[in-house]
Amino acid sequence: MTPLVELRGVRVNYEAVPVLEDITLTVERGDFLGIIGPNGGGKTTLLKIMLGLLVPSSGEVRLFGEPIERFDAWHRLGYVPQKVVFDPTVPATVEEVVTTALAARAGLFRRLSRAERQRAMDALILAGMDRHRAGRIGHLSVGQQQRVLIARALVTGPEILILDEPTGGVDPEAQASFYALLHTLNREQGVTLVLVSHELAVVARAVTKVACLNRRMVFHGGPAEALTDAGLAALYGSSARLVSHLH
Amino acid sequence: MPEFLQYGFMQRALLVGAVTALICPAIGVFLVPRRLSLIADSLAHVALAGIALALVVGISPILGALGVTVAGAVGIDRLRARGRLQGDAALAVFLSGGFAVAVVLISLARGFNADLFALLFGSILTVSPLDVWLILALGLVVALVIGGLYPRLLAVTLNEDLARTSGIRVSALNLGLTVLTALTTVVAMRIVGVLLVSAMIVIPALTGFALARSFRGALLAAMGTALAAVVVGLVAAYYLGVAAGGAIVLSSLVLFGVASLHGRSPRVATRSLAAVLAILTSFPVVTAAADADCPRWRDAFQGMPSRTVRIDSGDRTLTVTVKLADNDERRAAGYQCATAEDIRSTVILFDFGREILTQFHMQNVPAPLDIAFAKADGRIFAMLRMDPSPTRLYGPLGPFRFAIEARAGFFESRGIRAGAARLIALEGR
Repeated sequence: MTPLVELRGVRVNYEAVPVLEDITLTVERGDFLGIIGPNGGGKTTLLKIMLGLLVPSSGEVRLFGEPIERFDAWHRLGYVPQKVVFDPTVPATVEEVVTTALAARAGLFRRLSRAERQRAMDALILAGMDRHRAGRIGHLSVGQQQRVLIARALVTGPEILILDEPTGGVDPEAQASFYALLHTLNREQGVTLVLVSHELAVVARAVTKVACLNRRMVFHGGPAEALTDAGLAALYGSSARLVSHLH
Repeated sequence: MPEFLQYGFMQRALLVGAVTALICPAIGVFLVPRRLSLIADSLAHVALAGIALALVVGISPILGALGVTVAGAVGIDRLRARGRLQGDAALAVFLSGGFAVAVVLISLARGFNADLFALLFGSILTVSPLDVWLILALGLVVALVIGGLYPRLLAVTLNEDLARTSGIRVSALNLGLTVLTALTTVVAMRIVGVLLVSAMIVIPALTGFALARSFRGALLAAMGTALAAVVVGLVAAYYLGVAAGGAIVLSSLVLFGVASLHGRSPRVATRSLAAVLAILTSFPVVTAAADADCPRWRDAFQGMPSRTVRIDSGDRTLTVTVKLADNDERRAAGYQCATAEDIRSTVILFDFGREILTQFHMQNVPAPLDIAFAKADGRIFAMLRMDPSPTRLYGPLGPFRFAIEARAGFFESRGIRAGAARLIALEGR
């Protein structure tokens, strides 16, 4: 089966300084991949490469088997960025934000169809934000905005969801229910997930695969092997230990 | 019907003003959240260069502005997209560059004239019927493109990365938005003037943002307040004789102020809005009384005898047929309550019998006039452009015996200039 995401020999230089070197990575259908690593290790850069927001200095990126330059089936992919804080002075309702995901395939001069509004509503229900459908996005908390962005990413019915530090600035309770939502999506709806996070313990519990990134790919495999002391030492340096939050 | 609606120039001004009021905020709501408000100002200065070029070459100012501004829009977009110049630096380069080119071209074309003043600050008089058609066409293009691309434009405005990863071609859309801004600038400059175009793009958008809960609501509220500002501003410009652009922008600032109150105290906001509207709508009522004397002025105009005068322009002698206003009643009447056709086809010579000091008003006059003042020996020593207004007064520095009133542009087209020309002889019929 064709991998949904495939990176081969990707290298990114920022003004001649390498940020990522020789990254080779595949995401198969049904995976829940956690990308972990220290700050400045290139996690967000790697996501931007996957999404075509950055062009690598060398190497090859494929989405759904298609070279990314030619890829145009963006509705098959959902992206939840790291903290988009919406400007509170610019009014936009939650529904307006969610339906922007449908804009690329909207016909000219066509308003949203009943079916599209229903899909937006379904996505909001799934993300637990349906009560805020007509509310102003800029007036919501960071955690609520994050859920709206998930609903936005889900509205096209994507096969893969790519999330960048989605729980930054979210309280622990909201964080727990957020991971429950990801679990449901992955196990029950078969959505492939790629999640960047620095919260090792939480990621370890949730994901099925781990990629450890510190400019190079330090490890790529199952979570149990990654989170050994030896694996962590390779990633963060010899003194790193996993301080378990697992209860 | 209010008096001001009877005049062709006011009808054209309102029509163009309405187009301006609908498309400026429609662009503004997409520019303001992305911190691109300055684009409109830069493009307006580039438009000025286009106008200056058109005046030098002798083509329509709108066409000149259109060509140069669209080219400027593409230039700004390319510079920004390549990251050669940081965001506002590219805009500053085009803003000052456009202005510099305009100033140089204007100095080549020998100085400022009335047309240029109108373009800088807005005028309700300079809109010709051809302009109306061009502006309607441009406005339609802008409205159709924005209407068609609305969901995509909204997506890009809220977040570029999200728009890009949902399959929107963001850079093409950005280029399109910049070109639309150029077209909008060209439309708006006739009424509000080059220097105030960006205010019309920015202020109603901010007003809409302050009033609405949704983006669509903000767009509609912005259009509504812009329309109100244009109507109020144009009516004020007509009755008070002030620059149209300034009046419109001040009106929209007042509306923005009221809208900002809305968030804190809707009741205060509603009351202030009602008060502002009541004051502004009282203009037409106050001045409507003047119309009662119209039949009297028309009689006096019809009674003016025709004469032929000769004017030496310095290079050659022209023969001009005039209507002679030689008594108090006829001098008081002038072109009051005349039709635009009367003004196009006749010239009035005022003879006061001896040199006196006085001023002319433009109440009840439906079109702009040029007036030339001559001493008792016939020497033409001063000329003025007089705009329709119920309040403004026009007069030369120094006493005069004769005054010649004609449609705006008459003297220039005949090569008659103050200081060089002389009224030679007044002949019988």
